Amino acid sequence: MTTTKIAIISQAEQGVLIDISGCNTLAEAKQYLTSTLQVSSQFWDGLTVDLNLGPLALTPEEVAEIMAIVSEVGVKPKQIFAADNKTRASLIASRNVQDQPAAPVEPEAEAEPEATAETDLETKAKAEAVPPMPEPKVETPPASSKAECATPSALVEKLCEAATTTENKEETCEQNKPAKAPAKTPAKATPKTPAKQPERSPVLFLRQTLRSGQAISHKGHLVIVGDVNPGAEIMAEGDITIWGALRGMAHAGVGGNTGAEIRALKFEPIQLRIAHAIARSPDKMKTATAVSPGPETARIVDGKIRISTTIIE
Amino acid sequence: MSGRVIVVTSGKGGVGKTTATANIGVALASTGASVALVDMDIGLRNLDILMGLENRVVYNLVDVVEEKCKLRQALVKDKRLPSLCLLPAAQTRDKSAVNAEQMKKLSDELKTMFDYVLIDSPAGIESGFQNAIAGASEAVVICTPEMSAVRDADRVIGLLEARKEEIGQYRLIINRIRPQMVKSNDMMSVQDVLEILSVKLLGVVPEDDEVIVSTNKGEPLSGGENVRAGQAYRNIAQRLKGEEVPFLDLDSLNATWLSKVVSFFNPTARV
Repeated sequence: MTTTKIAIISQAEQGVLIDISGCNTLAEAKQYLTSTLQVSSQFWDGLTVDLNLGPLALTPEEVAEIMAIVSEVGVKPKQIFAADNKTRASLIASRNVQDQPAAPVEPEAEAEPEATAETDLETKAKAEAVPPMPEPKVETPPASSKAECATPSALVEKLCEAATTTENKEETCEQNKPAKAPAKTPAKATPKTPAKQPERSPVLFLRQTLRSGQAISHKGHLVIVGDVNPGAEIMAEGDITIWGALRGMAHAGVGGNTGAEIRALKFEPIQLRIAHAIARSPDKMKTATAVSPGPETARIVDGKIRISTTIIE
Repeated sequence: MSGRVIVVTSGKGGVGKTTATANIGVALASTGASVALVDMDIGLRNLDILMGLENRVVYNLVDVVEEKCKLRQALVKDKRLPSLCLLPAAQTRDKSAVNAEQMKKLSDELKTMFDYVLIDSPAGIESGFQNAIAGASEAVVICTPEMSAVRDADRVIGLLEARKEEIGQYRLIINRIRPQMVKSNDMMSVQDVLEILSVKLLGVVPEDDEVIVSTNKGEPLSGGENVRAGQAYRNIAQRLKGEEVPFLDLDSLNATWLSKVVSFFNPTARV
């Protein structure tokens, strides 16, 4: 399968992390952000959102462009993670524009002072052009880990890695049960994390119709209240549950979880994928008499995808 | 093998680029030629629906370009014609996902595998169109007999002319013509359109309700007999192959089968 370009990772009480570290270019990042944020515009209301820029190298203007996309749907990232020094300098530059005295000082800020100075004016112009400019803040090391991660860059990189791939996740969070791993990582950084951990894989809950061209990818279970129209793609490492009609493409168990299931009230998918198995809809055009028998579940039986009305096997 | 890369374009949207691509592809493939259809309309993927292959799409053009899969993995084989393949567009991406250089490389690779590579271009003249024509050596411009479509076709032809070195020839298909309206002077005639555009005519496709039916069914109509538009596309395919085929007699298209027989025996009879 393709690598995940954008992932929305819920972090239990910590809100969600938007991870675009899979994107290689700014254009890609912008595109995925635009499409994904649109999908879930109402979803963002009142949520704490963190943003992981991953290895993207961005100038202050480019950072402003990303922020413009994000703020368009009313998302104000609380923490922004970046693995690239240039991007971090840019983030600091745009923060300086916002003139926030409380913001922590980054050692990297001095690393590229000329770049910051050069682009300061332009950034200012951009920032003014986009009034709901969020307050980008480079992640500061939490008090506990300050000693071991003296350089913020090391920490940030670590956080990014943890949020990016499953393998890395298992590495960094090996003490935790693997199923719970995705929820943690950067969330840990904030002090208010309570002791209790989510019992199951994180669940992303969306309340809207997914339309053609919209794609959702989630490292956990996915619940959608609404329809999934043809041309929309939904992918989850866990189960997919749709309280509505599934007419697009659904891929559950991304990464190889053959126990994942897809269930929907109305089952008319173009294509179904569970783990590495693919099933396609019949070629014959649907006739008016072919009424959906009601809610159905797709699961892997003997290596093949089977659809049945049995809710629990 | 070095096949021909033909881009199907129009400037204006909704004039029948995708329908033409599907039908010419089917018509060419049914003559035995190997044909690849490439959907370049990234983000507004349609060609797979017309071909009835939507449920078989796993990888797409962008995956190939980004080297997430091999070209052969992304090619979807047609369910009726074994020599016909489709390279679908990505639906969840946009036009900026590929660039002209990558498209050129892709077209070069495809033409070593197929006799004909038909590229379905997106509407407009921006990056999507530029990417679509990047690897093409020939172009087919689609136009309906309306002022706006003719104007846009003219613009596109101008852009194609500017790339004369790459695109050796470009020919015109006039789509959705209604002979009766032309007769009553309510619609531009083939001659009117040609006068403005002054390009070589590849074919004239009459308006046909069957096109709507076949589009919804996912079965291109070139295969079916007794369909006027299907016949027109078969003729176009033959002309692309270099054969001389007379243009359809549009006047007789309005006549019923019976009246054609009557008028054959009795030329004075008018129905």
